[in-house]
Amino acid sequence: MSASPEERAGFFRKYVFSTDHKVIGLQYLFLALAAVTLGIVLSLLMRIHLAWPKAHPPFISGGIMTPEQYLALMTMHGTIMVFFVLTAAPQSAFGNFFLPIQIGAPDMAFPTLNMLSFWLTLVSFVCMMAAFIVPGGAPISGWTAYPPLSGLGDVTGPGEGIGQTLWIISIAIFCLASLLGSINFITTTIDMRAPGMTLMRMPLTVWAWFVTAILSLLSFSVLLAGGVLLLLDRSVGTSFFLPSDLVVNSQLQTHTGGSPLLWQHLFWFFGHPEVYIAILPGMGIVSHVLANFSRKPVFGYRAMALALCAIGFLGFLVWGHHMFVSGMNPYSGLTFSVLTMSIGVPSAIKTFNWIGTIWGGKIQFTSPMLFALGFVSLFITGGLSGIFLAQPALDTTLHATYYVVAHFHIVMAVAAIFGIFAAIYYWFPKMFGRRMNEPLGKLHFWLTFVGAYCIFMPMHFVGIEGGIRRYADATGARYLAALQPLHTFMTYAALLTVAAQLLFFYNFFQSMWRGEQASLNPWKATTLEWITASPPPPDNFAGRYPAVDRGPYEYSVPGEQEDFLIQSDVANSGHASVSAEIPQRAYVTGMALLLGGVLMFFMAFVSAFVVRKGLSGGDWQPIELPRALWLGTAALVASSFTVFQSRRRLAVHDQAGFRRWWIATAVLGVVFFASEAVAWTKLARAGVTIDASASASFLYVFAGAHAVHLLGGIAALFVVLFMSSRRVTRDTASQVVSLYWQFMNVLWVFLLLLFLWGAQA
Amino acid sequence: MSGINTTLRIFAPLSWKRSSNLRWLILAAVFAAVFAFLSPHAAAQGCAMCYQSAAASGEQGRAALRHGVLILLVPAASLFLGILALIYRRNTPRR
Repeated sequence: MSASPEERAGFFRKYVFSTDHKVIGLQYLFLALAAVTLGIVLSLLMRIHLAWPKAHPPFISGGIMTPEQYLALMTMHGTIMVFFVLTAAPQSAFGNFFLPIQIGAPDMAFPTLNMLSFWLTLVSFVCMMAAFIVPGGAPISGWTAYPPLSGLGDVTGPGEGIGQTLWIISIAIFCLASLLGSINFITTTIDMRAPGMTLMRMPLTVWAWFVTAILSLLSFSVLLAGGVLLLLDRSVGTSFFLPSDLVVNSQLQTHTGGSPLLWQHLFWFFGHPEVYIAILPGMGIVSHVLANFSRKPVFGYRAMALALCAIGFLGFLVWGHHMFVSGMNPYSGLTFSVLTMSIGVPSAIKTFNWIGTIWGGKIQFTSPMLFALGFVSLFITGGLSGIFLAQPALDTTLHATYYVVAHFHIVMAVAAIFGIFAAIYYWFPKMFGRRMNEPLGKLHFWLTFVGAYCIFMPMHFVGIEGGIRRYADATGARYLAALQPLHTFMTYAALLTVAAQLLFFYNFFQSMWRGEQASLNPWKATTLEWITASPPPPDNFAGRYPAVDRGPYEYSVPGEQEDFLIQSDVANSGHASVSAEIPQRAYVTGMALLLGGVLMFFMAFVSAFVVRKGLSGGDWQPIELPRALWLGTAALVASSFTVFQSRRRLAVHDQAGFRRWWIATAVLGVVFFASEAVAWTKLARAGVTIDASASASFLYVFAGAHAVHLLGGIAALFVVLFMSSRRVTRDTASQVVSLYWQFMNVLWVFLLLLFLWGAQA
Repeated sequence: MSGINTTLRIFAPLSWKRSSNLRWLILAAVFAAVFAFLSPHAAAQGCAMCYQSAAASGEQGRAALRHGVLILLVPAASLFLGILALIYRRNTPRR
C-alpha cells in the first residue's frame, strides 16, 4: 500500500512548516506552554521581591532588585500572559485544532494563511524575548505602554530604548498574525460547515471561537494602527502622543502638541475587547465540558449562544465609557451607563445556565470537570468584585491598588487559565491518542484552586487597605509595611501554586508518550471530534466527511441504549459525496473580512486625526498638496473603471479583453505610485517632512499606509494575470482582487477629502 | 374610527395570546427602561486615569474624544452585526 502525500512529507513539512490545522494548533499550544512558563517565573520573582524586598537574590547582578527591574518584570509578565498565553492558547491552539473537526471540515479555509499566522506569532514572541537581552533590557512602561514613558526612548529609563522598540514591533507583528488568524476562523465557520451543521447545531465552543475571532479582527487592527503611530513618535520625531514642553530627566524634549490620551483612546479600544478575547473561548469550553460530565444537554443552549454574541457585541460598546466621560450630553451618558451594566445580563445568563446544566445531572468529577467547575467559581468571584469597581466613588479609591490586580487576575487570568486546563485535560486523548493521569490531574486541580484563592483573596484586602500596585517596595510607608505579612502569605501561596504546575507539566509530557491508550470516545461525548481517530488523520475524517443530523448536546436521551447521541452517527455518517473542496465563495468572504480589518485600521488613523486635532490643534499647518498627487488620484479613480471593465469582459468569457483591462488597471496603479513619489519629493524639498507639523504627519501616515496596501493590490493584480491555481478559479480570484482594488480607491478619495477638510481648516 | 380600526388590524397579530415571545420582549423592554432611568452614571469603570485625563482636556478636547469614540464605535459595531448577519444568512451549509 503506497503512503499518502502527508505521510511521505518530510519532517519539516510535516511538523514545522505544516499547513495542517491540527499541527498548527499544537504549535500554538506548545508556544503558549513555553510562554506561560516564562510568565510564571517572572511573576514569582515579583512576588518574592514583594515579600522580601531587601533580599539579595543570586540572579540579580548587584544585589537588590531595582524598581526599574521590577517594572521590567511587571511589563513582560503582563505582555507575555495577555498576548502569548491568554490570546494564543484558548483561541489559536484549541480553536485551530478543534474548530474544523467540530464543524466537519477537512481543514481551515486558508491553510497557508493559517501557517503564516503561527509563524508570525512565533517571530513576534522571539522579538519580545529579544527585549530581555538588548542594552537596557526589557521595557518598563507596563503592558499598556502608556506614553510619554513609552514614546521618548532611553531618556526615560532603562529598557525604554531598544527594548521598548522591540516590544512595539513584536506587538505589531502579533496583531498582524491575529488578524490573519481571525479571518481564517470566521470564514471557516461561515463557509466550511458540514451538511446539516446549522447554526443551532454548532457546539458552543465553535460559537465562542467565532465571536472571539470577530473581536480579534476588529480590535487588533486598531492596536496595530496605534503601534505604528507610537513607533513613528519614537523613530522619526512625530508628535502623536507626546505633548509640548516635556522635560524628562532634566532634558527638554522637542515634541509638540501630542496627547498621551490619544494612545489611551486607541489602546483601550483594543484593551476592553481583549478581556473577552481571553475569556470567551473559556466560556465555550466550560459549557461543553459541564454538559459532557453532567450527562445533560446544555441548559438553554440558544440563550447561551446568543449570550456569547451579546457579550462580544457589548464588549465594543462598553469601551466607550473609558473615554466618553466629561461634559457629555446626559442622554449619551445614560446610554453608555446602561450599556456598561447590561453586559452583566448575558454574563449572568451564562452563569445561571452553567448551574442549570449541572443541576440534577449525573456529575462525574473528572479532571476537566473539576477545572470547569473551578472556572465557574472564579468567574463568579471575579465578577462580584467587579461590581464594586463599577461604582465611580469606590473606583477612585481602589483603582491604583492591589484590589484591581486581584479582581482582573481572578476573572480574566486565572479563570481563563482554568478554561485552558479544562480543555487540555478534556481533549488530550483526542490530540495525542493517550490519556492523562487522572489522580495527578485531580491533585493538580485542588492545589491550583486552593493556591489561586490563597494568592488573590488576601490581595483584595491589601488593596482595600490602600496597598498600592506597581510599587517595587512599599515598606517605606508605615501603613503599607503593616501589610507585609499578607504579602509574605501570598508569596508562599504562589510558591505552592507554581509547584503544582510542575505536577501538570510532568503529567502532560509523561502522558504524551507513556499515557494509557485512549479509545475513540473516552468521555462518551457527542460532538464530531469524537467520531474520528485519536489523533485524527490528516484530512480529519479519512475521506468520509460527516453529515450532521442532530444537536451538539444530546445527553440522557430517553429510550436509547447509551445515554448520548453523537451529532453524526459513526456507522451511518460517512458521506463520501460530501465535498472536501473549499467553496469558492469562501475566498470572497475572506476578502470581505480582510477589508473589514483594513477599514478598522484606517478608521483608527481617522479617529486619531480627529482626536489629535481636537486635543491640541495649535500645531496644525495648512499644506499645499502638489499637483502630482492630484494626477495620481485621477489615475486611481480611472483604474476603478478599468477593473470594472475587466470583470465585465470576463463575465462574457472574453479572456483577451479581460487581460487588456486588467493590465491597464495595473499600469494606472503604477502611475499613482509614481505620482505619489514625485509629490513626496516635492513636499520634502519644501520642508514638509513627516515631523514638520501634525498635519504633515497625518498626510504621510494616510498616504504611506494606503501606499503599502495598494502595493499589495498591484502584486495581486499580477498574480491573477499569471495564476494557474487548481483551488481558486480565475473568476473568483479576479472578483476578490477587484473588490480589494475598488475598496482601496474609495478609501484613498475618502482620506484625501478628510485631509483637505480637517487639516487645511 | 377607520384609523383606529387600521391600527388594531396592524397590531392584531401581536396579541398576547398569540405570541409569548412578544410578551417576553415587552417585559424585557420595560425592565430595560426602568433600569435605564434608575441607573447611576458609570463614569470610569476600570480606567480612572482615562477619566481624569479626559476631564482635564477642555471642551474642545472632550468634543474631539466624543467624535473619536464614535468614529471607531460605529464601524466596529456595524461590522460585528454585519458578520453575524452573514452567518445567519448562511445558516444552511452548502459544502
